[in-house]
Amino acid sequence: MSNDLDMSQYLDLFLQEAEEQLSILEQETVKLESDPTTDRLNLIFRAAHTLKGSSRAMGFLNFGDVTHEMENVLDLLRSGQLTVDREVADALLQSLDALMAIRDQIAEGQGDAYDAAELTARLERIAKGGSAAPAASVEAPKAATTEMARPALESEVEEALKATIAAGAKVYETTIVLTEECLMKYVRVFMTLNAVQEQGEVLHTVPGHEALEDESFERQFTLYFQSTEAEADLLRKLRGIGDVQSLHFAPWSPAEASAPQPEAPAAEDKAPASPTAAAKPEVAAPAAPTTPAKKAETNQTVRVDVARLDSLMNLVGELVIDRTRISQIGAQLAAKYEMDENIEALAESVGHIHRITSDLQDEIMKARMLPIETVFARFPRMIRDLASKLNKQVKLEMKGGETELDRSVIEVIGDPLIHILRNSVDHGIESPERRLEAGKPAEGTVHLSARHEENHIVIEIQDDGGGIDVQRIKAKAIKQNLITAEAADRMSDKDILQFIFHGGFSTAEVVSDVSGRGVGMDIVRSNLQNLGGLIDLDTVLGHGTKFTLRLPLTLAIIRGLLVKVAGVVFVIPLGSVVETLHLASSEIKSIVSKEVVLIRGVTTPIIRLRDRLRMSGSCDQQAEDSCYVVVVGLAEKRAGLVVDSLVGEQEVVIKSLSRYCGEGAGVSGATILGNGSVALITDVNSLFGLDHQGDI
Amino acid sequence: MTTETFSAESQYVVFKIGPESYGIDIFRVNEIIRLRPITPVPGTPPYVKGLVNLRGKTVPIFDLSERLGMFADEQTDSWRIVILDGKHGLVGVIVHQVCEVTTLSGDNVDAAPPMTSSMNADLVLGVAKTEVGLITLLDMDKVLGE
Repeated sequence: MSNDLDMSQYLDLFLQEAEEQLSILEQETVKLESDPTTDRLNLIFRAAHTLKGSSRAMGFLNFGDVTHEMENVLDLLRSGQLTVDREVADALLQSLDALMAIRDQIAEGQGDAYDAAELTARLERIAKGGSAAPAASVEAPKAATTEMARPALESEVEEALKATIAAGAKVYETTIVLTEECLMKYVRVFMTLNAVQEQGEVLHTVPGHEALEDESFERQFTLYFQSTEAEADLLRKLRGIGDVQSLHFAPWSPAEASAPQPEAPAAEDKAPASPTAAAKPEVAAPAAPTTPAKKAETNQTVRVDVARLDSLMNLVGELVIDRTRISQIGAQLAAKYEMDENIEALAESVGHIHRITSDLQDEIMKARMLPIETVFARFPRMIRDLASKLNKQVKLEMKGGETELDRSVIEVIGDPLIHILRNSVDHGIESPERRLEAGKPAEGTVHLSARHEENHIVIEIQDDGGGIDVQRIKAKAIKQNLITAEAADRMSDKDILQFIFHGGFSTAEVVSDVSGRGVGMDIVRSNLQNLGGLIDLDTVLGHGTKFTLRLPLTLAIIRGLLVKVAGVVFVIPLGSVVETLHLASSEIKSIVSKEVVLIRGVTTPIIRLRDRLRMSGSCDQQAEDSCYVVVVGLAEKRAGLVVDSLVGEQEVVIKSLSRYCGEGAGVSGATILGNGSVALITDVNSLFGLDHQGDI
Repeated sequence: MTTETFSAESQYVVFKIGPESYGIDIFRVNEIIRLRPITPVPGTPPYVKGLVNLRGKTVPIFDLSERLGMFADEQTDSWRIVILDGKHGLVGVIVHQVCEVTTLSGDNVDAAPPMTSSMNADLVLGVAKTEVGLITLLDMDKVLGE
């Protein structure tokens, strides 16, 4: 049975693992050039090693060869016989690209057809060039593995084996070293186990059974078993197993096995590396403790289908609605039956449900959270490539990668960030010569940071480049007929800067394949708007530019400001709310038939929600001489929404609008309030859009 | 095109809008609920009254009398919302009174006659003759604009 195990069922696992390990490789390799610590080398080495093992197991030999050569180079780096220079880093990154290309080919079902010969030759050259000795040192440990070191047994195992012998059974030990080409090691292990178990029982294995099943052993394993079968027959059966490089088989006796050995080979699953490690103990030291720690970690996580998390989220959302409902009913009952003794019990129980659902909601939200690192991870490489392509020197400093946010946001935040970063490197950071002229260090710095701020995540991208020349933007905007010269003169610098978010606008004189086609920043803006995010821009000519992005942590549940318009409750996402004001009607002025209000010196356009949403119901409590204004911000724009009254603030679960409602103008979704009624969520984004149609 | 629909016996939920009786195939009907507060949604056709909360789901509600081009009636206690399985999820229609569930066979059903009232002929599958009078069978897919 075991010979024709279906490979395809392992393919998914392989691809998943490759994904993980490749991302580790990418992150660490980029950092390697500037910061070649032994920890980092070990991490990279382990990733390459894991990839080598799994790819070879799957029969992807090109993939295996590349990782093998990488491993050789890395080994030399670890032992200090080679230092990380540009060439080495380039070669490693090139290998990484090759691995990703192969991985993609495999994922697309084209198999492992990548021609890696040139690359492996390059890596080999580097390895050889390092020094003559390292080649030997790589080979030497390889040879060492084929020599069969007898595993030391823990005393209780030994006692058990002794007991079996004492009981009159014959105990054997067999140590098998598989060939390097062996694809599926566990299959061979399994066949061996089958062979000896026909008339016997396996008592102990080195490494442990789990390690055998996971194939997390090098090439050698040892079985201790009792059997009633004749020795010759056993030997014949064991010899019949394929892919075996060498076989050691003998009856086991305690005297022979009790030779003291300091370390069990099971612990050092990287046998080839160990001689090098022994010579350089400081290299091995960090590697050893991390391996078991990593194991423990993997045992404690479970992969969960995203759809399942989403449906959990929905269920909890409904629970939250009912909770609010129950607590309201509870309050009503309490008012009605003040004397009833059950009321207190009910209140207590409701309070408890309240706490538990809140916790449950938090936990599920957390389960959907991912550190923003998963997005940040690809940036260092991108910046490095970009900088060398543009002949610039750019250092990317990242902070707050551990900041967590909902996966729905993670999925969409990558593209805007890439666009902004590319812009910072291409347009922001100047060439080294220009920088030196300006009295700045030749190397430019881009700071990328993320942090939580209340219910938001704030991401800042700051460069110390040339800044944005407002006059140039203005000139360009006039030239592209986006605005007349007279109108431009009346605009503030801040308003003029907004043109960089305009589709088709670019100030780059030369269109490069990096940026300059003017499609970047408008994508940034529209992506952010769809997320209910804000973007702000600060620039100082000659000193750099800072983009500040403010995003909600999740898109499934939002905090909303409840307002009443024409007797109907609407929810305005709190993320878009800047402030609320109670104004005298006389403060709303009309300029060219458009209503505006002056808020701290800033002219803010007014949108009457009642008219905009074409609500016809009567307003219940609006006094004629004053009104409530909710100032909302969309990206850098501000507008005041006139509402009839403010109701309160509440967490609401967003439900999409039924298709039967069409494109509900100005409304992005619905939610159910604590009293069971349906409220609509205003779409600030489209309100601004509607407003602008009237503009032009 | 509609003959197939009536070839066998099928059951219809019969309800009234104004004085006239109408029928909807029972397999389309999910449940019948009492009228409850409806939240209007801006920017929808006038016959879409808005959304109701149906056990934590938001369900859009059509006013059938308005959809069929009839005048609005004074709301009474007998008004109900018939919740249907639509192509885009649940959807409710407001009817003035739910009468009965009846079995109709193809023999009793005529194609829609040339329109008598102001009602939109496209929305009608046919008219069934029964002892209690005529029942207009509605093409719910068209009523819901699908």
